[in-house]
Amino acid sequence: MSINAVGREVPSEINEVKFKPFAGDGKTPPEGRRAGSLIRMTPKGRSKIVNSLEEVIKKVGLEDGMTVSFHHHLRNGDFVVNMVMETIRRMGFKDIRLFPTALFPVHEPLALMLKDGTIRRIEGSMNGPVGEAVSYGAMRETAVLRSHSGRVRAVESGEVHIDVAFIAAPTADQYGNLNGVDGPSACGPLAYGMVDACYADHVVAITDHLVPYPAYPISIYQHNVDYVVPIDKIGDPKGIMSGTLRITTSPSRLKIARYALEVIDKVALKPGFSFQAGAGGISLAVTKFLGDLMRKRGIKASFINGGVTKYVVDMLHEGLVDVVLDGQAFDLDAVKSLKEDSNHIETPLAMYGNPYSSGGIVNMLDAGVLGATEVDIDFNVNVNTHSDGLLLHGIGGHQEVAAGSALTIITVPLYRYRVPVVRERVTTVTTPGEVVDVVVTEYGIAINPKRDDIVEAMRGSKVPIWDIQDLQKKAYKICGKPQEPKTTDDIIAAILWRDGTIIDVVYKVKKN
Amino acid sequence: MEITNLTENLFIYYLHTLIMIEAGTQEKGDALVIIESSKQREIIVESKIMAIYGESIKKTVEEETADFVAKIIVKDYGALDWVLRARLEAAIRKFTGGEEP
Repeated sequence: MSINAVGREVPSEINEVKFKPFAGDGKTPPEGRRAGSLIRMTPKGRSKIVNSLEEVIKKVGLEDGMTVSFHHHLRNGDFVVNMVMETIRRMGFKDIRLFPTALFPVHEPLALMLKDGTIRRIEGSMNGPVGEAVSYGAMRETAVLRSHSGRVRAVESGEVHIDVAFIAAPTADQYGNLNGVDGPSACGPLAYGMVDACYADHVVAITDHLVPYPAYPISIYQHNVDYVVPIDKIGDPKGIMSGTLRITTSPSRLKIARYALEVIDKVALKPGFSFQAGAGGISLAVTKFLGDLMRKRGIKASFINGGVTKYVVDMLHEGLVDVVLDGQAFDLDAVKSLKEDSNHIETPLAMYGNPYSSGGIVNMLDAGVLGATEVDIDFNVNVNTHSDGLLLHGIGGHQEVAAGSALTIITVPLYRYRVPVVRERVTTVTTPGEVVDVVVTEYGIAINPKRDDIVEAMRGSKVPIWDIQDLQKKAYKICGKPQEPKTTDDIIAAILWRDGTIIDVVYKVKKN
Repeated sequence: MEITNLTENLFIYYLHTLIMIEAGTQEKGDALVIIESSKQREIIVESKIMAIYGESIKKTVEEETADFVAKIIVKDYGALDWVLRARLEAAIRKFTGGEEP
């Protein structure tokens, strides 16, 4: 164990693999060469169509202990992860390492496969019930959580080798060209699955919408796809698309959005600026208000990176922004726009924010607005665990946007119900305070003292400016001082910074 | 009575209980307080944030209902301390027919 740059005690090994402690953003240089996948050949004339999951699992030669991967573009509407894993379980395989980009409440059946030995560990975001089960010690080995681009880095560097990638494809042709913009389970981009398609030894596409060759547009290309399995349904559209997302109607949340907009206005808003959009209630409100302000001022943005929603698409169509870069679509307007608008561009996750690359989109961002479950007086942010210690969320792109964006704003209520959000010490560090610039609450904002330029820019603003410790004291006064979560010494998950160093660990929680 | 099977058990329970009142709601940020007539004092507290504020919640319930002989069930959904106190006071006043606790 050693103490890392955010003062957390972290082990040097997880699952018998060596990891370095977090040393600060950009402080750990990359080493070595990129990894590669098995070289394989599909002979001319051989069909790629396989009619059952069981048959395809036999064809790719799955063995006990292997690593299988999935993307999460179908979100809580996904049928593919459960279907494939259930087939793997039924066929009697054991000790599988599951390497999804993220899991959702719909994937709760996996918790049973942790118990019966089908899965030895999950390396990926666990949103909801699976994360909760893991928090109470349901998993034999230790989970490893990575950010979106941190996962890409792990695959490219060989830290994680994928044996079989199963790619849910809303549209596919019989020779493996895939896209996500058509079909009954359309999800928009297939950005999360792209790195898997390039680096896995075997790539299997699973589709419910087989179209004549060649499918178009093409997100994942045929030369990386070995088999195509047509099935009835890959997902439930209601869970894939969020429907029209609503801007928050809570007065205090709207106030947070208004304050955040004021900070963007004073610090970052200029012709040709760029920003990161999200789908949370406050983020949507900021995007909407920002559009209104830009229209009023006659300012045009160069690009929005998303997290694409109807609000972003409306700005594109109105000409308020030149280009939308899209790694994830949240509603059908976003899917339609990705299909039809040439200035709405699908971007691979490797391009999004992998620090060990020749530069990501996030490096070009002027402003990013992010959420959090907790923030502390050192500006450290937690998005993974709740204040009772349960691991309930993934990292997403939080680390990338915070590290890349010139202005990183965290929008949070001072407390949720009775639980303080601004605290003395976050339960888990996901993103270090060194890359966080402003914390915005309904009571006012706190500026990271190392950003003199922002302090200067905000001078004369009507937004109340606090020392972050005053915000924390205010929260504790209203809610009472929270008890420390009841955890054990057993580490159930490691949280990696996007460069692969350990920023924090999550401990097993005691049941009440 | 298992509080988690509230609806089911209450149905059977109603017949045997003399007086029963409730105050509050099951909304997030609120608390539901139920008081039933009983020969002994009995307190049941359940909360979604037991791990974070369990001690404080139990202390508040003790303080607000001190020496009150009844069965008191508190189901907390993350109420701030003074919200919980207000619900407890309302429940006791309802139970005693408006008298100050």
